[in-house]
Amino acid sequence: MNLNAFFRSAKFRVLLCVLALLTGIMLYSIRSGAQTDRFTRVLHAVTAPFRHAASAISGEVNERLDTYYEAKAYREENARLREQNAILNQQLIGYDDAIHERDALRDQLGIKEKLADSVLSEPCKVLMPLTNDMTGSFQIDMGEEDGITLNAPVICSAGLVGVVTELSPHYATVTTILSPELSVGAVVLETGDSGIIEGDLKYAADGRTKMIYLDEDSTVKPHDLVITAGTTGLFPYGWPIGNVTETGIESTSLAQYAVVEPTVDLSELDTVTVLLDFKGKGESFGEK
Amino acid sequence: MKSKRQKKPARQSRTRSERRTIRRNFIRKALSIILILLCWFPMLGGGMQPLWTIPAAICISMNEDMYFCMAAGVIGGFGIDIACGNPLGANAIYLVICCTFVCLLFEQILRRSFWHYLVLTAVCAFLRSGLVYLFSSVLFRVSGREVLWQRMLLPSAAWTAAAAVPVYLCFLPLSRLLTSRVRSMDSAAIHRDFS
Repeated sequence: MNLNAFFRSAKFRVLLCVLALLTGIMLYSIRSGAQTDRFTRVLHAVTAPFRHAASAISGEVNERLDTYYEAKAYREENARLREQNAILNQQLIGYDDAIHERDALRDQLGIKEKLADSVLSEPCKVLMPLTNDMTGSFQIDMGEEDGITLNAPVICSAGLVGVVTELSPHYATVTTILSPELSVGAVVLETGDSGIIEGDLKYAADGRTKMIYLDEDSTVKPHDLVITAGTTGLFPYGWPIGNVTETGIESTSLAQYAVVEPTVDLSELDTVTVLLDFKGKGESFGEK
Repeated sequence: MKSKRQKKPARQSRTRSERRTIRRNFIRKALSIILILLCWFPMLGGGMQPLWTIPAAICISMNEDMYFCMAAGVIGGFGIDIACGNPLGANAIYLVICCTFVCLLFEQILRRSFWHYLVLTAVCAFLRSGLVYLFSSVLFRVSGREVLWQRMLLPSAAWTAAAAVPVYLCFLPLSRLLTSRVRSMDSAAIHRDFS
């Protein structure tokens, strides 16, 4: 059979039909946007037990392999932590002052009060990190039927994790703050400078994100804490995002940027909480 | 002129050998599907992973008929779509085309050998990474896209090519034990030479 014969054969027509069908499915899937389409829902439902099992097994295997393969790294980390411990012991003298300062900062942020007004979901299990995704996006085991809504902020005790960007009845996909697709209004606690947290693949590879549109004369420095600004009504005010690790001037403009290390270790997440409702939700800055 | 309502010839009962071949083909194809699903299983672990279903689908394409290759491409592609969070069908289209092309190559030009399989798997894996890079980063001028290529897509393609070895070893018993003695390429050659 030569190639001409193949193009005239029934096989080629079947191939074209299959490709047309798949293209249709893909376009339908893309058109559905954030709401998971029916095909994907069916596939998710069918594959749910496999994914649960794969998640459990890979977690267990990774944990065991990690002990052996990362032994050297752990030894180094242990030595570093010992040094850090010694330094911290030196600093214990100022411990009481630090406690007072921390309480003052907490009051300033009003996190406790804000959380009292918030409606939180049940703890959601991190089911499946997306394969070959640099930004650490993942799926959680709760969805539309558990009250999760689109664009709801996802948090854990350490800080902001990301946003729900795709919903299906029993699952939701969370895009993390490392992703360039996500923009979060943020403010630097120490200086009051505001900007936008928007991921950059260059930094996402190291588990860091970027704060852009900082003023040219901003005095932001490393170790400053970045929190949510709460001006868009999408996120509550005062939720920790991360600490500044470096600053610089954008090559394309005069604005400054800061590289931010999230307060949450996104690679070690087991459970997260979705913020279903909070004070100021849906109120943008101008409407307040 | 022949009448349209001619009686069909009575169906001849299959010989024992034919029945055995059909049974073997069915078992082989069922096991192939199970193996490709098993290859999809580790891809759900997240992080940087080889895309195991690519070598599995290519390996199936090396030994099976074209319709089954397309089916393997669809299953493998959907597996990648689910694991990587891509729009459903995107990788399936790519893998169906790859599998059909590989099947044609092995039917028409190439001898069935491990090295050919390895090269074709590597080509498919790197080409996929290139397409993902093009459609997800280059067209949208995403900042830091070179990091995506260097740290994620390139290693993933390299691991996928490397994964061809264990996948081949998994599929080897299937093709050895359950394939008829006269393979499709040889039968095509016989057909070409003697017809």
